[in-house]
Amino acid sequence: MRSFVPLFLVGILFPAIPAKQFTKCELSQLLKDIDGYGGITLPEFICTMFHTSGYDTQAMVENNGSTEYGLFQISNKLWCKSSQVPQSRNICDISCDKFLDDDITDDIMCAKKILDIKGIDYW
Amino acid sequence: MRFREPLLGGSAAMPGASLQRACRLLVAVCALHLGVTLVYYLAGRDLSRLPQLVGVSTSLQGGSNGAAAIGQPSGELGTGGARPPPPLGASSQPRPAGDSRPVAASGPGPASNLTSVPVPQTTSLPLPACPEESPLLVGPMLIEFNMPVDLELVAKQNPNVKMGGRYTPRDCVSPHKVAIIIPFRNRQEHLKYWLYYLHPILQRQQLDYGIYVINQAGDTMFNRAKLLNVGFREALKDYDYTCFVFSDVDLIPMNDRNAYRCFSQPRHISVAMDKFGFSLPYVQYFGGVSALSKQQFLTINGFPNNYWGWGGEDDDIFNRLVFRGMSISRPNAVVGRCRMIRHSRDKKNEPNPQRFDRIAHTKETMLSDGLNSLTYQVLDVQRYPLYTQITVDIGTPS
Repeated sequence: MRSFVPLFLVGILFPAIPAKQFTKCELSQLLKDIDGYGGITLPEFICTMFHTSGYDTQAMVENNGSTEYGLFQISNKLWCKSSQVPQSRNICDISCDKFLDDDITDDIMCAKKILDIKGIDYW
Repeated sequence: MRFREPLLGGSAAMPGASLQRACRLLVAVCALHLGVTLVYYLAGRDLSRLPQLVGVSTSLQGGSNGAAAIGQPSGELGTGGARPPPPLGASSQPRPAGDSRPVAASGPGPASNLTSVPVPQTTSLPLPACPEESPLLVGPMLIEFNMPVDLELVAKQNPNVKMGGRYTPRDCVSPHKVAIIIPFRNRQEHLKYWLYYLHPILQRQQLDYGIYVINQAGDTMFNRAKLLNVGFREALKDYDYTCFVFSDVDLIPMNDRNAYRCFSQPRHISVAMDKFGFSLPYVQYFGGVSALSKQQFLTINGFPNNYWGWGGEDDDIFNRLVFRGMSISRPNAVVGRCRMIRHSRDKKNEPNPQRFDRIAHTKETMLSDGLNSLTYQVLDVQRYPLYTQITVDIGTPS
């Protein structure tokens, strides 16, 4: 009987996983970590991400045979692994679907790598 | 405030009694205050407009109010067009009593072949120009999307809107001949809400307007800007519109003081959308609902035809305006509040990955991409009571 309680709690928490549309303020808090990285200020990140994904963590856009995922629209051509582009270098060493959830710490980690290697011009 | 001492003098009564008296006095004063306030409030309000305060118009009684308010002011309405005897040959003013235009143009005084309907005084006199600001406006409205809309009922509620979605004010001549162009594909439910809310608003704004829904045929990528170009061309075949409002089908203004007409500079109308927290997402934003005069539109060679998919075309249009020396005119963020009908991303209107490259080259592309390169094929024109729908084949990305 007692084992059903955590199961029940898990059950009702399940629907809470997908689809997060951040507001500018929420995103500012979460991106504090990346403020100044690569010489790009937080307002510049916020503005860029608005135009890139509209703050939609589930954004997934096809672009000429490759696909871009999540808040930072990270491409499976080079940066993450997906079945569409099996020969991807997968520089961030992560499955692209991980960029579609609410937790953007992995997105930020990969965005930093992109900034290191390609710079802000990626966007 | 303590009630231990009796307030009205007399003997030192029990605290209970004086408290009671004090309370009664307080209640009496409050009631008096409320009564006086109510009297002042009612004296200053026009209660017949109560239905309009919630964004709904049963049947438009604005005509009589409007006429009464316009009156005959001396100098300020003397726009050349309205004062001299019948210049009305230029603008079409179909009379409800069935008078044909030549009657009005044939001279002052009661014309000989008037119908048997008792003639309202306005048919024999030239109409005054509509006032600068319409007296029919109510300001903020309640906008909701949780009730079903029946377009037949909406047509009944807006009896002065003519076939094809055309309306001309009856009691004054409007300087604003506005074609409202709506790019469209598979959004019938949104269109119903748009018509339900906007027809009463546009009539209160005393505009001479027509509604054009430009429906993209086929299943290829959606091209908003090209549809708007088509709307411009096609609307002009109907009437000498001088102003064009380009509106997404899912945007409803929350305040009827937000004028759906043209200004001396290109006008951005949807400046404070609920989707963007009732503020501009960025200062160069020109999407949603905007208004360009015919001249402004021609100056920028119209809109780009090469933006397939979502995004960027409004930024391109902004660029075009700037490159031609124009700037964006906007209402304030209170008047400019808009609601967007929430919906998921349409299929075949995914974000256009080329948009960033394209908007970097507007200066060159605007010369060859626009009205001067517009090709399309009209497949169907339908005149519904509340709008005209033009189904068009605009081709595919080249």
